[in-house]
Amino acid sequence: MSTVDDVVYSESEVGKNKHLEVLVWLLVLLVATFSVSLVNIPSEIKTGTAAGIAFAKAALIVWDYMHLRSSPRIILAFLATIGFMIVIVALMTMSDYASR
Amino acid sequence: MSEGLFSHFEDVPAPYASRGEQRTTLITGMWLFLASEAMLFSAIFATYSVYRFWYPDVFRQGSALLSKPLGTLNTAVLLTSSFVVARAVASRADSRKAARLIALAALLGAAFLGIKGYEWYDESGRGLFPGRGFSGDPSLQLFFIVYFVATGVHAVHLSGGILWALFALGAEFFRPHRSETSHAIETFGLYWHFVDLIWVFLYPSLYLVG
Repeated sequence: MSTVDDVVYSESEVGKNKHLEVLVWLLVLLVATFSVSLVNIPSEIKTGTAAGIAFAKAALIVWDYMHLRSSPRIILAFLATIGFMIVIVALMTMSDYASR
Repeated sequence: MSEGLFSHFEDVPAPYASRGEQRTTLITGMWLFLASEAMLFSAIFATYSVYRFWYPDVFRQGSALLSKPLGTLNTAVLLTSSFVVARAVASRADSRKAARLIALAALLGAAFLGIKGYEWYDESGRGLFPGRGFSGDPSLQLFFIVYFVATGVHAVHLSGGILWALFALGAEFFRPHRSETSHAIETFGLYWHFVDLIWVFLYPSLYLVG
């Protein structure tokens, strides 16, 4: 099993071009989010699209800038735990909402 | 592998047996901290979701009163700051370069807070701050309570990030050959990206409703 020590985020591993490419994608997605909000479509579609784009941006940041791509399993386990806890919060909130 | 990168650093402080162990502990600890922060923000998002489902028109009308261009500009500023921090982390073996990049990121963070502060000032001037002075439809206060709490908590976290950046700069300039400096830049980077991540979700949730 790899550890954090095995992962060295050096210039050679994650180059400037890769970081710049991610930034360009993030800005493109930002413009896309803004543009969708101006289009005359049902609000449910707008909300779904905006949420989808937000998750895509989040994935880019976590994957590349936060080095998830090269992180050891323990970090992945942490992220899975965070996701699980957030799902619990969401389910409990929505069940409360639905039962009123 | 990490020995090569950090070979110029001084000895490792107690209680760590090696630089690798120190790094593992700090980064894992930061992820654990971010997990607790994610829970805090998920509670805010849960509150937002429930009220938005209950009062969709209030959220649509409230959101329409916010400045989309300023919100979008602020998002671009924060995303750019994340890029700069990613470069700082990648360049941390060169402490001078990393310090310059962290200073730039702190400046971008301050610009974000400046724009956000102007927005709050403008909104308060238009009587949109919840309370006795609220001048709009009283029901809209619900949206603005969520808005000010969410953006306020985020701004506090960003302010913490800027203070941390200043601390990291101090570490860079005054302790340029210690392993803690390199680890501090890495953990700072994780925190900064997390704050950016939160805004990525707040922006469409608050500014682009409906």
